[in-house]
Amino acid sequence: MNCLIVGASAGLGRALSEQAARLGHNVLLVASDSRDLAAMATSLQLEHGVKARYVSCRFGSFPKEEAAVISAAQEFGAVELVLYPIGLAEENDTGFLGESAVLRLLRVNFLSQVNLTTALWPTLLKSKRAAVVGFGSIAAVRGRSRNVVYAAAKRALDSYFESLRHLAVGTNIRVHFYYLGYLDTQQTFGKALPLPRASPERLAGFVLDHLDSNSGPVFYPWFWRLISQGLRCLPWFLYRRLKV
Amino acid sequence: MSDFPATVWPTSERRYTSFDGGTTLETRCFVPDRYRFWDTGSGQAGISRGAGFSYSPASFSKSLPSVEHCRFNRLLDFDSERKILEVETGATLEQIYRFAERRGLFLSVQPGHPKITVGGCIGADVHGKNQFRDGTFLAVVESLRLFHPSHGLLELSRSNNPEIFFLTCGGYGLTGNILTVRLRLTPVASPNVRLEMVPVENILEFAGKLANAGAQNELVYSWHDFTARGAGFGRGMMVVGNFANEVSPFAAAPASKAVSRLDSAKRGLLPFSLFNRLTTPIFNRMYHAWLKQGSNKKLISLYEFLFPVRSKEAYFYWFGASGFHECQIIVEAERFNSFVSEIQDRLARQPVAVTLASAKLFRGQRELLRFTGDGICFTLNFPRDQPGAAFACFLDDLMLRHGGWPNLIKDSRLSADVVNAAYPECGQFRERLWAYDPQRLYRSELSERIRL
Repeated sequence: MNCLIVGASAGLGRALSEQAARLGHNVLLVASDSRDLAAMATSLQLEHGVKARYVSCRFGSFPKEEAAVISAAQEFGAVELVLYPIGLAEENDTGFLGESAVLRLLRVNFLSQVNLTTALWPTLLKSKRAAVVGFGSIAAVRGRSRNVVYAAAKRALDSYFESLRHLAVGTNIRVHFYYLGYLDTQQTFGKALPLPRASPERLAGFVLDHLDSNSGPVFYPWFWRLISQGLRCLPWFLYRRLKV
Repeated sequence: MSDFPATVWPTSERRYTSFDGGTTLETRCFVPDRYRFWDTGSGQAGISRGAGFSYSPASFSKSLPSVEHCRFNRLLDFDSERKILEVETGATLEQIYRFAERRGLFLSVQPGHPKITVGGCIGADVHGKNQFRDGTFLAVVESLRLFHPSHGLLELSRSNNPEIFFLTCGGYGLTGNILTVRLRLTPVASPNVRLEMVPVENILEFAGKLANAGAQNELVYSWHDFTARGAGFGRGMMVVGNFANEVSPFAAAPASKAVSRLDSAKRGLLPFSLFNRLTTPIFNRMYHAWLKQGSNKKLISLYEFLFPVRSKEAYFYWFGASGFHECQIIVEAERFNSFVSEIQDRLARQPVAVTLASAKLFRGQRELLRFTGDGICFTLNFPRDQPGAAFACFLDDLMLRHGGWPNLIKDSRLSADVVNAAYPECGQFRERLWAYDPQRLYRSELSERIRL
């Protein structure tokens, strides 16, 4: 398969890229820093003998960066699998960010994925077997006093992927969405967290093993489903007392 | 440098233990995964840490955070004509083996465990089983890229900044963080290696046999039982090996694909040691009997040849939480018998559970703190207990009296006085290091202990 991996240079994105290459898939890597991407692309090519290319772009800083990715995807060959392990959170996202910061968060966490999927959907429809995989966050289950815009963007993404699932009914495209809890990445490194972190490598293996399944959104690790349902059911007068 | 905004990289508290279990420290660490980590490095230094397999704590200290290179483990370029492979220094020997194997190549100098990283091999200038032929790891390093907050990125090779290059190879990570390295691979003569076991009945006749075997074979090492008493002291096997170039009736074992779980933290999981003065002679007798059983010739895969420790990992777990001592010493061949005789006398008077005694042939030019030179490299393992500590001090004294020198990366208790006495160029190493880095930003428990 030809895979497009957006947010490929670190954490889950890197794990997905490595796992995909290990399985023999060609990979087109997208992330912000060309140095990391160049190293990854060469390494995947040398270690696994797959075709690996990269495009560096910053969805948050410059509008219309998606055009470069779409053009690279057309050159790369018919993309059959699109993975969006991309995300950006800001420490100061506590409700009163300026417009440019809000736009940056929306572009990275939501708009870039909408634009890319819109452009690639016709190509995906033409292939025998295709999949689009999005990654939400447990932070978006309910509104919080932190990660305000980030959570809103991820909630929008959740809705968008549900719509995509509808649009994909009766086609060859599988649409998957994951609600992610804590992952063992740079974002959680050194932080005291109340629950264990999941390994990005294991998650990557799980995602690529379940591309053909037709089940609904997946919580990873699984126990976040229970927590999430509990939080959703919590009445406001109790929820407001939580320090979330 | 990039145009990315400066990032504050998160740190975490970690508890690091040297592989021999001798030193445990709580310290801060970074585990960066992007090149921009090195952009934000102005004024910030962290001692590099690879797989954490070094017996001596060269990758952590109380006074400085560690930088784990596990995410910088990629293969960056391969020049198939010159057989030069460029890698990040967190790349493991196993990764390089898998890459090279498919192209009929291998790294001719490497230590015995596949999870060891290239950065560690350079920092300690490690050796393999065939040091007398192929030298130390320095021999396969073409060039490297080093980061230092005050100097930025430095390109180092034998012709470009040679002084810093030679200070870095065998410099125990004290010159900065090695980011990438270009390694010279060697065509492999055969995917299999033929080993022959030659019984050693008397340790005092062994030095001559070792020199003769070295002249005729690609690989020579030995194992001896130092818990045997009387005439049997030091009995064992000399193992000689060569790449198999004939059609063999034996089948070589396939390279293991199973992932090793051994690391410095897990090694000490067992709360007690299985080795003591009662059990060790039994273990040694059983191992000797196992070596002697069956044919004295066998064919093994290149993987087994390169990574013999991989199939013997249980040995390290058996030392338990208290750990073990490894004393690795080079002694001139002419003084080897006197050296071993004194060990025999000491062990007869005050027995110690010596779990391993092994010898290899060494050749090379001594320089700075690199562990090389002409002689016999002799290794002893024994449990980290009170008799073991006293025996290690006895070995220090014996080594100095015999003009020998120790491997700094294998022994976490060597003192500055012993190192200064054993390495004539230790002072020169210190001077060069201070001249290169007057602030001495890079420190480790090892460098502080031996006062570098």
